[in-house]
Amino acid sequence: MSREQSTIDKRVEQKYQHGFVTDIESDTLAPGLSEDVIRFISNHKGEPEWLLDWRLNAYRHWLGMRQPEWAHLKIDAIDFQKISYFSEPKADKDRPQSLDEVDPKLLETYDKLGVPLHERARLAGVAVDAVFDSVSVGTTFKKELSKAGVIFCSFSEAVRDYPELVRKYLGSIVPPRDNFFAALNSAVFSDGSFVFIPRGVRCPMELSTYFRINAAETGQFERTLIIAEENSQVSYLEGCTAPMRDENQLHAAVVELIALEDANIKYSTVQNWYPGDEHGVGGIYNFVTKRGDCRGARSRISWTQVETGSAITWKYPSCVLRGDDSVGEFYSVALTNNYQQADTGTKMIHIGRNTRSKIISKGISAGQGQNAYRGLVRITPRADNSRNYTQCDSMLIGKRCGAHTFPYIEVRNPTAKVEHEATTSRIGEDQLFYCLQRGISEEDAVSMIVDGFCKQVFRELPMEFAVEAKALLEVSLEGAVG
Amino acid sequence: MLTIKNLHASVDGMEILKGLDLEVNAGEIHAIMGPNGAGKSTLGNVLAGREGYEVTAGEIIFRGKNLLDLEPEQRACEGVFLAFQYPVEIPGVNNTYFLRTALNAQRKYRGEPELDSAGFLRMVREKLEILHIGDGLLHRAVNEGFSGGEKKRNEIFQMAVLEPALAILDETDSGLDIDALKTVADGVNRLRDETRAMLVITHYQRLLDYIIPDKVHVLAQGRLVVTGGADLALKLEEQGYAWLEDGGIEALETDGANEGPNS
Amino acid sequence: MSELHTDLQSGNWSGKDLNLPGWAKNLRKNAAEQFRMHGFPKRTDETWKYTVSSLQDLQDIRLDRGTDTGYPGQSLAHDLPGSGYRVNLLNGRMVGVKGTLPSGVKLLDMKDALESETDGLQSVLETLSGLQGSRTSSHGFSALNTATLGAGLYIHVPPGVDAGRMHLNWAVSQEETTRLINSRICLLIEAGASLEIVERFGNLQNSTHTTNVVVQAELQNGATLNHVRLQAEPDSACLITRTEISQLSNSDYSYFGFDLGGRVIRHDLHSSLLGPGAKANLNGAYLLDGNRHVDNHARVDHIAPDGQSDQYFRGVASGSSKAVFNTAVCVHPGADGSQASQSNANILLSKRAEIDTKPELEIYADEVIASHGATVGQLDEQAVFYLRSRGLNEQQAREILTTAFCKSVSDRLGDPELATVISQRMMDVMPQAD
Repeated sequence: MSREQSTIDKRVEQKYQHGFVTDIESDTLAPGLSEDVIRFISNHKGEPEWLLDWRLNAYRHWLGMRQPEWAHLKIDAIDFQKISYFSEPKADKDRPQSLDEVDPKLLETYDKLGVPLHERARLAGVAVDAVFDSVSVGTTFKKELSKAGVIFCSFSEAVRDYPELVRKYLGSIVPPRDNFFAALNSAVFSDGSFVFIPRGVRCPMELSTYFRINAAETGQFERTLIIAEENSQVSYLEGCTAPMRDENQLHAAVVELIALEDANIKYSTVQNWYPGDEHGVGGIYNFVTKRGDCRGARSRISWTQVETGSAITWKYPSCVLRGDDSVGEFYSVALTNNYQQADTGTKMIHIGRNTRSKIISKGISAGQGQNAYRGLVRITPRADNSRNYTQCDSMLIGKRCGAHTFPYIEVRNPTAKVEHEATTSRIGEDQLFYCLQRGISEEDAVSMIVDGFCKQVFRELPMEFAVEAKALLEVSLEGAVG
Repeated sequence: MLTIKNLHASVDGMEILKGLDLEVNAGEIHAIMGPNGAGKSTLGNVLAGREGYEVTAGEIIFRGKNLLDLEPEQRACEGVFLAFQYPVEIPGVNNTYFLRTALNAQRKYRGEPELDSAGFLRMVREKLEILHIGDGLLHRAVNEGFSGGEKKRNEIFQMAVLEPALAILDETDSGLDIDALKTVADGVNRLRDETRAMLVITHYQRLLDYIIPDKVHVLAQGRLVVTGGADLALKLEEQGYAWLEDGGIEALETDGANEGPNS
Repeated sequence: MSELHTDLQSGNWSGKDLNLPGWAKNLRKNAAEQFRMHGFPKRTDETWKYTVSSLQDLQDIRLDRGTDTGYPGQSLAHDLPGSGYRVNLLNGRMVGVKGTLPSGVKLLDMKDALESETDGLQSVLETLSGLQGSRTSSHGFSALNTATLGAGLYIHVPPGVDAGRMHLNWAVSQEETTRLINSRICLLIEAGASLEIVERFGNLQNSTHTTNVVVQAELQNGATLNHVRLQAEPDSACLITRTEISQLSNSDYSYFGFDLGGRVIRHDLHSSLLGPGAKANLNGAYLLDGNRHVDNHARVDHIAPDGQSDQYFRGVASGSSKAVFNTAVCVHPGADGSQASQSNANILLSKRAEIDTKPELEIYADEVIASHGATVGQLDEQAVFYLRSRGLNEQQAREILTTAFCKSVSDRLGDPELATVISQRMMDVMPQAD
């Protein structure tokens, strides 16, 4: 065992690779939260009155709410007055009109992150919106997209240029009062991405957003809204990183997806926020509300997430299957190492007839990590012939971690079929020995076995992301042995 | 090639091998037979370096190196291949990818250039051709959902690709129907050459109808008690192993088949 | 609830004036304080969220005053097979026994056991508050049960003795007021000893009582307890039970529960595997129709290494009924080599019925094999068709298949005679599709 132990130790020493701070000037609002702060944010962005009122209503409601405690998480108290709610890279008063005007240091940052902004983006065929601290800093491929009628821009731009669309859909899936963190986001959200795919359009390329927190003591509260009209299709990717900092930083995003009749939205996340150091100091609190509304018949929303970062992850990308014959999917790999904690899963709410949902969750716990799957499958009385299949597998690496499963199954229709399966295992001694006997090193054997464990999820990711996800997993874990 | 001297090994504190001696030369096939619980599989696992098999005395020299000093993967890279009695399933890991990783790890160890995937695939297809195995198993996860016969064929296929100096076949015949047995035996025979040695561990003589061994050893009570030629296996088939209990060794020895366990 | 608090402080409830030893008085006092603080479960209580709304209004409920009338339907006591010892409990108190106890086995009225401070009773009683990992928040009911401690049984099986089968027949007399009846069963099964208890809940009379029973058992090294429970309460009655099993090394606990009746039934079944190599095998079937509500919470805590737990539950719900099932396994740090499996399957037969199931796993050790499966669905239509193609009508086909589904639980009973009787009972009340 001692040899294996040393391998674990080696892994544990793996350093977070995206933990650099970009040295650029930024305008950061002093810490603290009040109606004045919200007015400042709204005013600074030149928002219409209705949106300010919307924010203030959310804020007033939030004041009366309590932080949820039901998750299998230990969260140090968050002082919401110590967080700065707005930070933007100093630049000209006007927002950069093209990438050429963006601070080169910022672009360098994205280079380090491997974000295919710039020409590389063109080659990769991915349109990227990058959100740095609170502000969207540039969107590629605008022209190509607009030719197809696709709108892909920062949330602020959307408020300015497409207010009627924003007003129609904002908060229609995740209402401002939905939960504590969603209410907070609704009050103070700074920017984010907006996507609109008109009727009948198949988005010509993958859309992608990269999020990065840079400034100290700031929270990031972005908001993403994706609308897929009838018979349209889009695949959207998001990636996230943050520098290494001693204090915990809060990231409380809201993502809303709407799929109308026959629309298809695929939403993929590779989340690699700073997880804190090996003693559990620092790291991002990733408290995110993501929900998709399969509003139209035969619509489909598919969530794929690879969660390797963050000190604490609290997120449940969900599908409300309202349209008849609509389909919801959730594919997840969540990894917790050192002192990371994750309580993540999904909700599948079956309302329409013949609705289908599928949940594949793979949790990997190492070090002292705690990893919980929490999921709800609800079949309402109207949802005739609905089906759910859930598979929930946990892998434990080491003796001090935990893997937990909390599935809620609520069925109120006698024609529905719901199946849930879960297993917990470790990397088998026999599996490891089999690989070793063929000459494969222990480290390679473990990453191979873990990769195989996650295969069902990785194959749902677009190619570039699958490669990145696999690499991330290896960095975070490779070779750790139970 | 392989010299085992006075090997003692225990599992969970219980001594299974109690002074085993064996000498195998390049080009030879040795069969290790014996009753259940005699320690046949222990021998294979000790040679491959499986955790939990503790060597308490004796030595194993393989091509001039002390095998016991080496980690399992180093032994593999030195050319020791164990065809598992129960091949392990590794869900989600593609069989081809697995094998290429293994082969390249071994090539790297030996200072040979790694094979790219095209080169590897060409080589794999050749091997499949030779072994008369379909390419269906290339696209599946390692042993996952394989039938017993498929698993054993996969072992032989891996052996053919990795081209070990010493192949240990641990009860490779168990649970196989006659067709699968023939495929396995055929695979083994095709790999047979003067540079390579094989240790065929089996309970039954049946496999030895197809793989003719140079020597047959009987392992009982943790030691090789009788050694003979290929015909010894037939005698064992007729007489079973019960004679080991009641002085039957002499009966066999009088046939002059015994060359002595230390030869 | 105010009435009840008044009762607790001053009222003349059954057993209030026992001549208790100091430690027992303390137990009661602390529990009364706990109950005063927490009261009955609330909707915000995670483990009660599906059930609180179905509990009858507990505002007006009064503690049972202990005015005994005759044991109803003596015949009830004899309707299950087996030659074992029989104990009749009326309103939670022991009122009659029949049969001969094996030598060395003690069976005492809880009142007498407390007053005479029988060996072992104190330690069994006191484990309830200190249980590790117990998250069953029936604590309001349990606290009330301890606060009114005095009725029930204490059974002690000395080392190595096979105490055979004991029948516990629960009944409640008919009264006007809505009463809460509290009773406690304590079992101490010493090393290598074994016991089987067959509990039977069922009143012929339609009474609106709520029974609150806590069963506690300590299984010492290598002890065996086989626990069968047939619950066929009337449609007006509520039954709240908590079963707490503490298992030392290599002990073996098996539970077979059959819920065939009752208005609101809640059972918290919890075993703690405290010693290495302990085994818990929990099985149950719940058959619901009408407006019935059955909530089973089964949980095994693997605290010591090499424990095994197996949970197997089947449920059928029709009418406007609601079945809640929560199965949980927690493997604590250091409980290496644990094996845990959970299987729960449900058939929903009506548009108005509901099934809520939650199979949980909490694992803090790595050398563990754990799995669970839960399904909600309907009968296999191919099987229905197959039976019809052999000449059965559709209703018959469905009945046969539903029965077979539930019978898979009774088939796990070791005693074929008992299994036959119970599967017949299940057939008698088998819920029908709309």
